Amino acid sequence: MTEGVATANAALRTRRRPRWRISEHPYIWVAPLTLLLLATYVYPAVEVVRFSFTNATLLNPEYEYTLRSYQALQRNTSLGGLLWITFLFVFASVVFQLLLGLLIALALNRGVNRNLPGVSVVRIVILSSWIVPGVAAGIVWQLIFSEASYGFLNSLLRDVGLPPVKWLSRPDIAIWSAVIANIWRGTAFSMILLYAGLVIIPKSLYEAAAVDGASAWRQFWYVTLPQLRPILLINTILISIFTLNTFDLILALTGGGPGRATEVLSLYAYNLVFRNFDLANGSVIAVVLLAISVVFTFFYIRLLPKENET
Amino acid sequence: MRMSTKQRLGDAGTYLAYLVVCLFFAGPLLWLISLSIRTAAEVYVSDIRLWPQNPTLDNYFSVLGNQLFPRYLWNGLLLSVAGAFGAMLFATPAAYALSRFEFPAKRPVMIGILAFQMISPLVIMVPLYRYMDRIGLTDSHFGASMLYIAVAAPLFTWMLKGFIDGIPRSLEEAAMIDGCTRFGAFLRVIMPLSLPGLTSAFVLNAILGWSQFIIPFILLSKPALQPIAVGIFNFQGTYNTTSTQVLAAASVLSIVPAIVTFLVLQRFIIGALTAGAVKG
Amino acid sequence: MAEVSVRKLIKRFGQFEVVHGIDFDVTDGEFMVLVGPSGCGKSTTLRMIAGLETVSDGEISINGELVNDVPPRDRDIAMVFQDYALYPHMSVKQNLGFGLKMRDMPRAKIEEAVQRTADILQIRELLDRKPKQLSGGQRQRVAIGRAIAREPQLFLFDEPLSNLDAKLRVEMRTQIKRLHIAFNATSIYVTHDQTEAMTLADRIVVLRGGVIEQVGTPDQLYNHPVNRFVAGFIGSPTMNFIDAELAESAGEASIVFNDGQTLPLTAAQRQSYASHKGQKVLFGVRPEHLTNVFTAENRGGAGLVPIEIPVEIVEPLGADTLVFSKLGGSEIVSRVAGSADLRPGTRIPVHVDMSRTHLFDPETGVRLTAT
Repeated sequence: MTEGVATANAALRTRRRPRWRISEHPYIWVAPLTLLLLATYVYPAVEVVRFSFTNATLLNPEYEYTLRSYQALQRNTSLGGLLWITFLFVFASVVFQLLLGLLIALALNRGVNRNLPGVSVVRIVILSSWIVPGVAAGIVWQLIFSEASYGFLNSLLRDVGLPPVKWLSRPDIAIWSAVIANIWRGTAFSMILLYAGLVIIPKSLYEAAAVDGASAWRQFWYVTLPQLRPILLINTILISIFTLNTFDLILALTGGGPGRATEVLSLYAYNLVFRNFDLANGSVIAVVLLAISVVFTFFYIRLLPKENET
Repeated sequence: MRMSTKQRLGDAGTYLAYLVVCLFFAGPLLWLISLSIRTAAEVYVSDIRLWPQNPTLDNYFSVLGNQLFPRYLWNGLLLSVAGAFGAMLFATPAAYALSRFEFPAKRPVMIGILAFQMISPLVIMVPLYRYMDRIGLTDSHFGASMLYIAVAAPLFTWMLKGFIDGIPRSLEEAAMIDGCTRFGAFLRVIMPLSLPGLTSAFVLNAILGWSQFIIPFILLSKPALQPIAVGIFNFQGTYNTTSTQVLAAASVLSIVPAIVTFLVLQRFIIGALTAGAVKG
Repeated sequence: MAEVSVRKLIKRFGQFEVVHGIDFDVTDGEFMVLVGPSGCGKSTTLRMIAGLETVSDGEISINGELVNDVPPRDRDIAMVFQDYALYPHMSVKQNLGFGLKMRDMPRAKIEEAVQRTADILQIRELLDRKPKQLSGGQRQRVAIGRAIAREPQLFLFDEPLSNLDAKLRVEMRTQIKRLHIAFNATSIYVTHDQTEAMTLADRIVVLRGGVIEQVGTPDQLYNHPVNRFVAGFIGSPTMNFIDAELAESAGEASIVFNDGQTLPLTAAQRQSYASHKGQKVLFGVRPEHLTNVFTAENRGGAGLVPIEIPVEIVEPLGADTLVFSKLGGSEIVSRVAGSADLRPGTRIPVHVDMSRTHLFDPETGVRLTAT
């Protein structure tokens, strides 16, 4: 045997062996992350719930426990409108982002299958809209919807002889403008998920359907959609959560206005806590937001395949 | 390959769809660029044209010459990179453990990682602001960075775990037999092989950090500390009615770094995105 | 060099017990093969010896020292994995030298050792390549080289040849055997392939369902299997098993098959099985002992019984031919001379070498022996 190796091996055998092997314990590895997550998510979540049961403000360090904030919530007349606006915003965003995302994914899929050039360019263009920071997207669309003379859409309308639309100054239209801006910003994500779902559908299913006599539409209805079902569900949940949490886009686009026509829940909570310094009532709204997110997340987790399945 | 008329029609329709889609998604950005290179006079011109008659880069100089704007860009870079980097430090060992070990806390941690990504930073800022104010962590890059890290960590862990799952266990077993402790095997074998996954996660989280608005908006009140996402919002407040073209230039500058990074590294990012959300 | 001792080894995954208390020894310089069908616990046992799995109960000792709690790196072992586990980001040279580097050997010595190993396995020209540039066979040689370079006291092999095609497998098998003769290192080798076990092993441990069925040399397992499972597992094509009864026929103790056909026992057998008269048995005979090939050994032997069997299916192998046939109401395989021109539907004369047959208890599977 080689002399060097033998010595090395002998040295190894007489090496002191520690009783416990630290790096074999999983908890060491996950401890930092777990502590971080506890501190920045669990603790605040608990605190938000706690504050909702108080009358705390951001100004006064003292507070007492009371149910008045929740009672105020019940008596809050504008709450109904707020919830409606939020619901409208989320619902419309989900529906259109799903539809548009699906159409684009189908078109891209067809392009890839038929080796059409330019597909990746289209994909990149769409994704770029998602990369744009939400607040910048809000600013861009604010300029587009602007009713001043530099506003793009109204100038366009004027050019074709149509009357201008009060995109941002009419309460009932403003919310739809916000929806459009959100669709622009969010569809890319939806498209990626749906596209990923499309490409894994085995071609043989379509071939079998074609042999069975199904038209393109039928194939879509009976093969594509059912195969996409889990992803459509996951997608719906994710878009809902993301839209519910959207804050910067609306703030930059309308600031919540005109009046309170686009003041969604997240904006309302922000205003309560950081404009009115009303920590208690703001926490109540935050708890509502949290509760909705938790419910959605619960279904999201239920829908995911288990660890061992693929 | 012979093409039937049906296929030709289909192709034409597909390209039409592509055109409409590109117009819709690229249009606003192109128009923003157009606005940004106009003079004040041309901004109010009512006829629609992409390329103005007298294009100028003055607006950009004006924006960059502004005391605060370069600061905003720098802060944005600082915070997003710090956030991604810090997240990487927390996420990497956790992702390894979640991939390789079985232990009772595993399932709650995995669920937690998924679930916490869904909580809006607004909800956590509501109580956190109060405490950070008392400790004096508001208006500090340190405090903001910690929050950026916390927000990026779950996604980072999730993405990285998926990647490490793809590395065969026999590699670190071979290393442990060859003489490494588990940690040694992790450093010498798993880490080098995780580089692609790390890069994707890092880049994606940095780009998302660039967009992060709520946390700096609430936490940082001194403009000199604010990142570009808040800075551009301030700009909107100042320049909106007076100099739209300057606002446009500023907006372009706020968007460009993210888009350029994305274009250069898009291959890394896209695959990582789909793998995470769908496979869970 | 090392001796390995395994005592009452138990492994549980949660509530599920996969190794149910096994015992065996590996002596210094021995090539021990653990063989068995998938799920029998052979890989798990090997991994426990390596330290990659914790021991639920029982003891593993190397050179008399208990190693249950010793991490793999301190056991002075080397392992060749099924998927080779070559570090993809390192060159072949770095792969070979990795273990030595972990032992803080001076660079010059590592270089020396690596070159030597590369020469032995004839992979000198591959030293600067990365694993992904190598073929399966080359990767396997590098994997073995990595183990050899360390000159450990114990070599472990976890189904290293399973991923290779048939021809390479045979080549590498010989290579491994040659290396063992040259180095005389204690080795424990896991495989599900009984041919590999038979050709490589000094001794074999046959495992099934987490329990040891038999430990012995290839010769012992082949000629004296302790039960039906081992008899059927070792040897290819597998042994023929036919339901029968130990009864009298023409005044002599014989094997009586369900269809009435009988085979006389040898004198020695008559004595051994005397107490089992009248019992139902499982008659076992290997295809090579149901043949028309006479070797110097058994020509004219007393145990040869001539019979005729129908030819149903013929599988020519060149040197031999396999004949699928029927005997005693059951399907059997017979290995006959390759030159025979056989046609399905005909009958051929063969001899049953009764001295090489076995009887098994049909319920427990245990081989019947002299009582």
